Amino acid sequence: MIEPTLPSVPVSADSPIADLTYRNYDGPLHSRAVRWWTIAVAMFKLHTRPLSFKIVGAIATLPYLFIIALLWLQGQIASAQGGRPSFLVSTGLVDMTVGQKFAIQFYNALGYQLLYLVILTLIAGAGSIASDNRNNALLIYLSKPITKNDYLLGKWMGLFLALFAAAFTPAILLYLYCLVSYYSDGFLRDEPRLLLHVFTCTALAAATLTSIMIGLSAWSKSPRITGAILASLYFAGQAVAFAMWRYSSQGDPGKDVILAHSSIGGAISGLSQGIYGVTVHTLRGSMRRGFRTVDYPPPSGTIMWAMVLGLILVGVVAARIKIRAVEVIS
Amino acid sequence: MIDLQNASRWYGQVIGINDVTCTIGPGLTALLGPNGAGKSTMMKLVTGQLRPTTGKLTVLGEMPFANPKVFRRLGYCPESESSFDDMTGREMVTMLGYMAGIPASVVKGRVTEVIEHVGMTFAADRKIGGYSKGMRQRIKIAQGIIHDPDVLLLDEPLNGLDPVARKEVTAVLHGLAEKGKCVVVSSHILYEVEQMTQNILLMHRGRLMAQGDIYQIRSLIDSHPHRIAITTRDSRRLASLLLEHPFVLSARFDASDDTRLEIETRNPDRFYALFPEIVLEAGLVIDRFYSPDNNLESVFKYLVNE
Amino acid sequence: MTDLYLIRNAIRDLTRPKKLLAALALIFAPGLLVYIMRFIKLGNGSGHGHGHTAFNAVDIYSLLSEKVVFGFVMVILALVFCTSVVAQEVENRTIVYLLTRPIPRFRILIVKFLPALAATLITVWLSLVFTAIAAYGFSGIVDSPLTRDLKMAPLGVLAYGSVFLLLTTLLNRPLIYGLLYAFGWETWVPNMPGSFQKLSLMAYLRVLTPHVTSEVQEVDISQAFSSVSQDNISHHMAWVVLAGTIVVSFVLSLYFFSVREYVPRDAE
Repeated sequence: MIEPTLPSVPVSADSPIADLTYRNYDGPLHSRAVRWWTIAVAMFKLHTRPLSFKIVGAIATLPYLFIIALLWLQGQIASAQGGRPSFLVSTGLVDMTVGQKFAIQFYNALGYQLLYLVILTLIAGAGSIASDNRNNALLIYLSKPITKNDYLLGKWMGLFLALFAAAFTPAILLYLYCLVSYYSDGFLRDEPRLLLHVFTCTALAAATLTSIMIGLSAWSKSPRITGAILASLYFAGQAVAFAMWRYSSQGDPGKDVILAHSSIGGAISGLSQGIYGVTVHTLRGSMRRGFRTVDYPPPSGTIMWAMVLGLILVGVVAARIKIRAVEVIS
Repeated sequence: MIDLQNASRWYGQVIGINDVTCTIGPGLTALLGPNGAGKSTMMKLVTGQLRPTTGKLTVLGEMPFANPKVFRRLGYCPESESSFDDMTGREMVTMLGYMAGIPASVVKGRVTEVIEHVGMTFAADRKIGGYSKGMRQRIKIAQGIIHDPDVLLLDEPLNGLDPVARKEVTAVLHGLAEKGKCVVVSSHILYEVEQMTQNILLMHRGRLMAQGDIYQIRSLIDSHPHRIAITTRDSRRLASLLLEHPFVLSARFDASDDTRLEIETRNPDRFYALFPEIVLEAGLVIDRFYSPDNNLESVFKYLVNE
Repeated sequence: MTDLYLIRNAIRDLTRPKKLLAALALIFAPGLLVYIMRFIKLGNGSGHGHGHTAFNAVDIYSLLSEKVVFGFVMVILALVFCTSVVAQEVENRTIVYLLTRPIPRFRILIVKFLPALAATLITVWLSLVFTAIAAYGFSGIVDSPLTRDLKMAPLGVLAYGSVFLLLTTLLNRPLIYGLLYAFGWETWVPNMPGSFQKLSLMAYLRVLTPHVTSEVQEVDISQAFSSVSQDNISHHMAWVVLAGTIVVSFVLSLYFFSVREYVPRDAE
């Protein structure tokens, strides 16, 4: 039997025969950079595909949309009153300090959004490596010409991009709204680096959650248990940190600030406050004793950076230690 | 024992099985089909994990979904390898034996018996997490037969088994079928099924293509005449003698081997009856005589590819 | 006999080394926090700006039992254990073995649910006990609200447990939705003005296990206004709603588990 041969001349676009030269490809293989990126893109598509991710992602935009609505409303009220628009802090009762008019809005929105970012991390990331452990997919990955670092970087980047997209997209919407509406009020002039701060804070939030999730996922075979552990660490940390701070400081926000931020959410929030450079003002007290103005200053930047970077490093190192193709069953 | 009447099952827009009507009685029946044919869906419907979207399905006269009465007499060996990894084989079979309703006084002895029956005595007290694929298969079969069910369904039971184990498991299934049990084995490995049973249910794209004896089905496939290969030194003379008969459709010679002749006929029974007469009258010597397509693979190919 | 065997197996599964370790951490952590807080208090010294001169057992027990034991330990354990009743079997693809046995489905659910409840309750009880011992000492426990908390803990565990059981019989990812409910909804709703708090289980539980401190709590002005405008929940109402939630959720769980299809997605 005579084997069919490929056309010896390049096939034109009008030819009825498809170009089959790819079958005998013998050229160079892609460089290493593409290999981890291939995993990252595949993971990103996988993470963002479930309906639950899209629903929670949509909910995660609400804090920013709410602030856009609030700013718009304030503008309408101020215009109706004939005055320049004033900008309110989260309580709506105190004028904002000059120099942090808009940063405070982004800081507050990120704070409200953090719970949903954690939920998104659970939805997307709980099974990122745990599923591979369960299904022995690591054997397949590591049988390709990639290293463990490629695998880890690809997995990390895929989850990071998904979380960063969910965190940054609504933030950029708020930024654009403020740019369009308040440019003449000094939006860019007063806070020229705000966009960079927004990018940094959302990226750090996504990176921290990604690293912790990847670290936990690498040590587990059950996505469900991995998610439960992350949820426990996050919420228990918050509960414990709050309880300890509450008892130690007796509710004085100026005291034991580091203790108040000694949790995953607290570290992200504290670092964001420092990067945005905002001081939160509010009224605190009781109906019996009355209320007083209280400032929540940002915590020490060095310590916050150390905590966040430490969490990122611990997560990544924990994952790297555990990734292996073969597990010896004792 | 298993009765489907116009049963269909959809998963959203995807059809699992489509208007299937069949009855499966005692004996060993093979449920065949390529991947995506609907075999697993059929298994899940019969074992009461799913309900038919339309139509009716009964097992032992009752609808199987969430029906303890049916499960008392039904055993199921699923395809999935996942199992109770933290338990030993013995513990898993014991637990499922208890759940099947075997009394405490009897269960221990019964567990030992079935574990020995499937050849897993040597590893019964090791954790399932450390089992090989074949060992998991055997333990799954053990839990399926522990309560001596009247209907036993096995989804790809020979997966991962070595040839010796396959023979042993096939013997177990034959034993059960001979006792009058209804044993249904789902597979897409044709040569294995052919050695197990001649009674098949062939599915393709959710539809039931054929049911019954392989050879009966083959004889009914008119569009593909039977091919018979004959090796003889005087092939051309034999061909001319055979072509005189109306039930012989064609004769083809092998270009590389003059002595090999392939005949096509729509009436193999008549052909087989007359062939010895023709050969004896002509004084021909036949070196080899066989039918390359009177087998399950051909039935499968002809029905599935149409 | 079958049921006892299943319960025994479920208890064995719940007491595996890793799970036991986690349970021990949850039992002892609040108590350890008490000692840490004592140490902090000593470190801060006397003559404090707010007039505190001594470690206050009432405050610390109230804070930790409400925020950590009831607010976190109970909820997270109920969530993980009760959702795993169905979700773990589906994830491990072992649900097919359970559902093809001659046991009514509702019985399977009850037999798996009871050990999950027991494990949660025992952990919460032990956690409360150790927290009280750490705060009050052995002799001071008698004067503490520990007895009341121990009596009310089963109600909380049953309430959350049955709600999460319902989630796991209905949804594919009950843990996610349970977390959204437990730490999203339950965090925000009790602090909202008007009748919103009536949509939160924790609000009813707090009525039955009030944890007041010896000093006036300071809160943000928004919380202060919302607490003023919140409708008061009576004891009777709290009992009725919690009991009703338990019964309705449990019955619905049994119903849905009996009629729904649970088939793990095939590997291919």
